[in-house]
Amino acid sequence: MRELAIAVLAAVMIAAPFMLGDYQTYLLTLTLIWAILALSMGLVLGFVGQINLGQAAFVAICAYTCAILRQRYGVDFWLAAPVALAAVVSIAALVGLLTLRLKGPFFILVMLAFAEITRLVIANWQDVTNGPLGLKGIMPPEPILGLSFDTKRSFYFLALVVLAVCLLALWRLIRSRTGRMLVAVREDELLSEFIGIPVMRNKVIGLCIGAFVAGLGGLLLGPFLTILAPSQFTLFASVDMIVMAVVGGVGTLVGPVLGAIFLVYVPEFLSFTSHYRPAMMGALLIIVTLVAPRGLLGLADVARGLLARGFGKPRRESGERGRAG
Amino acid sequence: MQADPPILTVERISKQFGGVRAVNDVSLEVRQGEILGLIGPNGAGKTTTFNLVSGRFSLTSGEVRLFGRRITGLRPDRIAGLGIARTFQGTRIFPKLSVTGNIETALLAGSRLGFWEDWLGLARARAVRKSIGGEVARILDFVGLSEHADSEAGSLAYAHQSLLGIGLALALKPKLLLLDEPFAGMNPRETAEAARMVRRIRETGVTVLLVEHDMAAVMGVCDRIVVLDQGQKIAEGTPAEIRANQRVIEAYLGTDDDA
Repeated sequence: MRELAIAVLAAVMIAAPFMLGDYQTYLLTLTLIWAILALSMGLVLGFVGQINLGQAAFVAICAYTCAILRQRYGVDFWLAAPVALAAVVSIAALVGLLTLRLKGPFFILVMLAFAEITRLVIANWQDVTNGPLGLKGIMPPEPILGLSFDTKRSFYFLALVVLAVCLLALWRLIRSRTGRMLVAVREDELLSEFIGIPVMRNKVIGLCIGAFVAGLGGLLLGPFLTILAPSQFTLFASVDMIVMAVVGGVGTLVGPVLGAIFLVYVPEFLSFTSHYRPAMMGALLIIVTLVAPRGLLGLADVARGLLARGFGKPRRESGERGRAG
Repeated sequence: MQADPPILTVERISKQFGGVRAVNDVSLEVRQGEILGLIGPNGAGKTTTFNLVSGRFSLTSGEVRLFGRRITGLRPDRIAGLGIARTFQGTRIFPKLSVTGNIETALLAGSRLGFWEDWLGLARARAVRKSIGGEVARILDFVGLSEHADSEAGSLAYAHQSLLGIGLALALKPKLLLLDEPFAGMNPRETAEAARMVRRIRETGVTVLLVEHDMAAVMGVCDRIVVLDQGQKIAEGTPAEIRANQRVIEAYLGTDDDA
């Protein structure tokens, strides 16, 4: 059943760009990139148990590092990308070591400051980043292994593969020992420590993995938009990721993806202007928290439960799939 | 006693909270294979002593040694790794995980499972996980929670949650087990059962140090008892000696300056 659903979904996703026009393919690619970003936030939110308002800074650092290496130093995308990822993970480790000791609002505030500092550095370091005007004309990744990415369709497939690999990798991760340790630390730090789990190390690892995935989204963002500017990486970018993860369902992997689809397409259909976006995000967050704290996935579970009532025993979830409250 | 070095040596430890000396110059030794009780009236510093030994609080002065090795100042997860496991007053478990999930988490924490081999699901990692599955069953059987294996831990009855807390500690394969009021909140029948389990734990080669309020249970289960009062050690001996000790009786009944 589950395998069938995944196979059907994969077939649809592969067929989609051949059925759709350029604009719809663009929109779908945008959704995929947002899904990767939401996934990165979902990991930090659901498995490290922290609200990270600095996630957009991780995206920006990776996107800019890659683009600058390519434009200024002529480095190939496929060489610049791992360097940028290494950079963002190192920065995340450093920031994490300093901030993850802080609890609750203090972590949130320090990460907010980190995000703002990053944005200001980008906006003011004109020689390297071209300041508020941003980097323009970012080219698609160079061809590799006989594949080129210079059409909308080929870039869509690149984003699709990155998202699929992220999902698979994180699915393995949350079932791995590390994933179980993250859940334990999220549930009860003190108890975790006394059953021998190095709490800080696990939290830093969780943040670094989140930064890595955010970085992957950032790598795609540059060539996708062809332009990178500090105005793209404000607080609202992180808030969007949070809303997507929460709307979809925190503590799951499918949730953030659903949230990204929802939040790219719903405003599109309702033709909201971008002016209302922050207000809409805020309202949505409040509604979801009040009405469906487990997000769209939670609602789906409820619906399935209603449908299945009387149809034999309800399906039990294994204990390892604890969800954050 | 001279032949076997003590498993745990607590040497003149003190803990100051602001102006209060919660633990004042306490020394004690836990001998290999014994069940040592730590008792005393409320506020005597029993739980603080536990927290100092297990690394939750830092010492103001003094030293704690495990098998002669200084463990003072180590982080709790390092102390746990060296062989000291503890339970918590009022029990502490992962309520949202299943009973199995709880024990599994502790076993995984102590396992030597590499990140990549586990992430990739290599053969060795699968073998480790299989043996962990067997150990979970063994521990649940030992603490008598086999039939609740799939229940959400938070939904268990209180006494069962306590047993799960002990199971969590046992999953660390400790050499020394610190039990913080294991019989609290239990009815006499449950207390008797839990006391039997403490003795069975000792039979598996684990040394036990327990803090307890329930005097009858302590007298029944412990080989030796250390009595604390107002942060200081006032007596040490067998249950019979402690029962006859005048200072202990005074501490428990209160002396005239308390009245």
